[in-house]
Amino acid sequence: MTQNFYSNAIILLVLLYLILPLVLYFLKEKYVRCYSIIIGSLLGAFSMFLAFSFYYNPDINLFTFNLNLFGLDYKFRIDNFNYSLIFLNGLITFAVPLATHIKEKQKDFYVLTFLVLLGTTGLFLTQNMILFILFYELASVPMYFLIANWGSLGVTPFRKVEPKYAAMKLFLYLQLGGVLIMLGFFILHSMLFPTDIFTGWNFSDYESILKSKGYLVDTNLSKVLFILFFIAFGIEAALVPFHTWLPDGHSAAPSSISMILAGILLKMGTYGILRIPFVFFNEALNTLGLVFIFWGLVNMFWGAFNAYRQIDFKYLIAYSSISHMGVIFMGIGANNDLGVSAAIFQMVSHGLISATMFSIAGSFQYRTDTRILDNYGGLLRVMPFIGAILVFASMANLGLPGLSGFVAELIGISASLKAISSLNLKLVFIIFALAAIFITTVYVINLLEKVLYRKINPNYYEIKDAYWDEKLHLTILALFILILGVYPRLITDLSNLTKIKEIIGL
Amino acid sequence: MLEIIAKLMPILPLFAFFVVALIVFLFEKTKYSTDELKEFSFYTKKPKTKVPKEIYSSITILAILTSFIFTVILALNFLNKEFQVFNLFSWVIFENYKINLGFLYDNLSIWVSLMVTFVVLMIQIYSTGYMENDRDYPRFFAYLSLFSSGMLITVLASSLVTFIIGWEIMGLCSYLLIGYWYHKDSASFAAKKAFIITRLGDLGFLLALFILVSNGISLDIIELNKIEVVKMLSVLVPIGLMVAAFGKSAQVPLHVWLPDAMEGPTPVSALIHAATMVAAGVYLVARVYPMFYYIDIVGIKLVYIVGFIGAVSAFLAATMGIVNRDIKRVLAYSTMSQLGYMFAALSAGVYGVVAAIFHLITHGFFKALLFLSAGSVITAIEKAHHKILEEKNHHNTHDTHNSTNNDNHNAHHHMDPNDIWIMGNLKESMKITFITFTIGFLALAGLFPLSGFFSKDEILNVLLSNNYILFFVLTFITVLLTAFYMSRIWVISFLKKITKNEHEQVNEIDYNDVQEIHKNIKESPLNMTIPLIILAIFSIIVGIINLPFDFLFVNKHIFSDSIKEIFKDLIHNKQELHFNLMLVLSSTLLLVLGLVLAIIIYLPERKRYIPNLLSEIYKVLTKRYYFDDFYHVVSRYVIRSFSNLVNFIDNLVVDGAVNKVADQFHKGSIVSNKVFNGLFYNYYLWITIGLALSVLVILFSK
Repeated sequence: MTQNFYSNAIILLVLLYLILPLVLYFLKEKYVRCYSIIIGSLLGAFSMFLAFSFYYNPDINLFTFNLNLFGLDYKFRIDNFNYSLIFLNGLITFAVPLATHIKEKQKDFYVLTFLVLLGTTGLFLTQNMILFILFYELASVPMYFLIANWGSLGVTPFRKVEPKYAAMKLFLYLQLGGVLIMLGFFILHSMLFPTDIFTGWNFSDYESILKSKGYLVDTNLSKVLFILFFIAFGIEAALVPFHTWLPDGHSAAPSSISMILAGILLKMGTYGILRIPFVFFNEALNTLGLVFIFWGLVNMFWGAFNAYRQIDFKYLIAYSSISHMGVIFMGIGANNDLGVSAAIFQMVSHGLISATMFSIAGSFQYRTDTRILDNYGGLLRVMPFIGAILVFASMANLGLPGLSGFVAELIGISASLKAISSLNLKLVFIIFALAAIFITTVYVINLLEKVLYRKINPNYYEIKDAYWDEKLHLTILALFILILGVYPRLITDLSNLTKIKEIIGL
Repeated sequence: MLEIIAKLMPILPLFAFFVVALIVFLFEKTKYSTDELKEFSFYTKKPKTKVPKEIYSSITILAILTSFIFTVILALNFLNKEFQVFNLFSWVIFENYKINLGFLYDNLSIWVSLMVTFVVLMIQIYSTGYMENDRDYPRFFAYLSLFSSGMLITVLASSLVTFIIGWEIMGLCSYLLIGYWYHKDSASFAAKKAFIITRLGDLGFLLALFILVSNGISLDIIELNKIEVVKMLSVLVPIGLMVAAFGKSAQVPLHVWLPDAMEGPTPVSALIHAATMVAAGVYLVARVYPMFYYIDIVGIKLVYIVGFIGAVSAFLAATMGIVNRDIKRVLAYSTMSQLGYMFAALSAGVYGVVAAIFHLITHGFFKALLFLSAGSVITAIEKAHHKILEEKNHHNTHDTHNSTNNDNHNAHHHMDPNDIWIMGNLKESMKITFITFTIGFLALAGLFPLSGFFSKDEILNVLLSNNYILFFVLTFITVLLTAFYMSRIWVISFLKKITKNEHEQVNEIDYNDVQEIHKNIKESPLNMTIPLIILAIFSIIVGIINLPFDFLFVNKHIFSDSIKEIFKDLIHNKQELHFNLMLVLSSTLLLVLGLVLAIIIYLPERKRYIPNLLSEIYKVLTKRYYFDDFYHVVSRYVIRSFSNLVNFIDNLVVDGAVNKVADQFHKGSIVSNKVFNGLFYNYYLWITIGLALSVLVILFSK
């Protein structure tokens, strides 16, 4: 057991996520939000501190915590895969209590919220399959209650969506994903460790087999397992056509929960793909890579064209999320230096951007009691600060160079082009990708026009601009969108294929 | 020291933007009363800011002034020397691929940045006068400063990523500034249109970047201009960049946004939509010229396509300019037309590049001058208008007739201060503006010895000497058209006395109201007229940087020689460009013809507004050759229906199937619900079963 400051800090982080929220139950109702903001900032700062420490000292041996319990070996680690996600997770933890406008049953709300965040933190940190599933469930089960109890009605051009329905749909989809992941793990374990139920649950066990044998299972099976895991995690990451839970769930959820959903929960899926099938069955990508690239393209295209016709603010952002997740699938499918970096970068970038957008949608909903875009108009006049941040986040969303959205788009699509060998396919790919990028511009600009520009609706003469809590977290989120856009090497230097192969030991 | 200056120069206005934004964030509280919001207008007698508003403009002006001084220092050190690259840092690094952010100082970028910083400085000083009655004074200067930085980053970019960062900062600022008065529907629509159409062009830029990055080709501009690199480029790279350039520079068919962009405040039109941003497209082609020169598609050199679109745009824009009665829109068409000249020139090798960039620089001066003069007129009319309104309000409040007060206000809302038909005979009341506008107009038309003459002549000359007859003919006719439409607005707005009869033929508002406004018009204040005068002087003399003959202490072709230096690899024959006296005389003749025609047609009192014979052509022209309708149909019917279809499938097919399955389960689960009433139990049961199954599997496989 290697013990040092950082490895203790890692387990401390997980424990703090578990323990600190429990105090909420002993507090008076009026202190609940205040306390949540404090622990949110604390946990957020701690996570970000750990992520930055890893960035300055990228030595995974320092950042590993080992625990032997009941004969099983549990391992937590910060490495090149997850340090940026730990950072993102910290930032969202910090932002969520500040962005919450919930007034009733606050205790339950915050406890469940922190439970979700415990799940995501644990999932990113753990190197153990059993804990992985445990944390996965921890992150997804409370979502049902959060959406069903505190949610609101969503509207699409075709139907209205009740929060109960949306919550159930999200829950079932996530459970389906969970079951498939579990199935995959059990198959893998029974193939490679058929005799021993107590070992073989750590990722490193498989990586060492991979290192010695060069492969885990034979080629055909590896393809099947890759697809199984890809779909299992893809459900969580809004892979078309398993995506319909996402717009309903995101829109019905209270906005701070949408921030978690879009900011982190989706990334559990893509992180899972990158961490498990991408590493374990990498050779399957030689033949299947093209499929995943085009699957990503379908996501991008489908999400963008769907977003164009949405009339509900949060539905629009949700479909835009689906569109942006496409770049991650693409990058993973491309399986080259640029692609992996693009995938990891997009996880963080999209997390920041969509969290900002959802937070703003929440601010508008809190003030105006509506999310229908046509009901807004001219809000820039009364809400200059939030309006400015919305313009900023929208620009990042459509991939304005200099902001984080552009980086992933540039290297992700380039990586895919690099990976496609046939010239005709390249052409098809680029045409659809450019169409998606263009439609993204159109719906984002439409959104801005409908919300901020034109004459102001007389009902909204009296509404207030951002309060201090909104100002604080929106500024910080926007700041990181800018920093990552100008200096993407904060992520790409460490999270690229070469470095990842190094830490797996290939 | 020079290195620090070189790195700091383009970013200084960006800092100024952040400083202004920070001060606004910390100190300003914009809170409007319900009354203010009801009848919202950005015009106020005294803008209320917590911090004195001059502080904001001082910060941004100081920044751009420093940038200008730095540019002069750098020009003195680097001009006509070996190029200098100053890398800020690497943007991304992969195993064997690196994208750098940095600035490139060579003759081309230095000449253009001299013009840019100077014009920006003038326009910012002018804006302190133009925007003095605006509510959001700090916002305006913050945007202008951000924009200036974007333009300088673009001009000095050492790699295509740096270039596109600046390029899109400009696009964003253009969007924000066109929509600056966003309470107007027309302004928000114009802003949206401008952003979307330029972004459509930018897809080409992205395409080029994707291809370059995926092939592992360096994005550094110096690398991209090497002939051995150019030879292995895909044809899509220059095509993409070309499309982006057309979008930004408002060339056919991506030009539709530019006339509408005139919804922005006039300094914005002068800066972004005339002098700098729209010229960035020309600059982009010139910047990576070798790939356009060497690569061809189905046997046609790409430079010909560039030149063709340019010549056609020059001609079409000039025709559309003839029929418009909005002074700023006419100037916008003229911008588009002049940019067309530059693109046409770019077809003709290195000499063409020289001519194009020369015209870019002179055009920057005189077009800024024209717009600012027009702005001076517009703001004078607006001020007079507001003064009358206030007097009436004052009068009305004495009689406590609030309703009539509002009615009056509304009646005046229809007045469009940009309309040349309500101006008329301004030479009396606005002498300085009249003179500066006249200088700008003559420079644009290309009268000897103003700057426009030299640059336009160089373009015509280079096209003729390369035997590009089609391009030459189109641009040559455009000289006549330019002289005509510019004379038209000059005659109507400054010289002509519009009679009551004429007024009622073309205007809806009351003649007496307009007369009253005219009585109150005053010349603009000094902080507006001084920049006008300086720009006017420069519009006259800036041609000396590239005279076709020695003049006093100035050698001929200083500018030309330093630009040629960059592209010396492309010059195959030593043939020099000769001064063509016949061409000069004939183009001057055309110019005078256009001027005289306009005076004959528009100066005397007119019986009919449109001659019947021309009414069909007139209709096509006012419909702008139906380009706008085309885009409207595409967006309204094609994209929207497709997206409806996609959304329908998503909601009813994908989700419908899921719901069907769920319903079946629901029916099935009515029985099981009685056993497990609650999700948790149900779920944990499944886990247990799963675990048990896997244990069994493990046991059996033993």
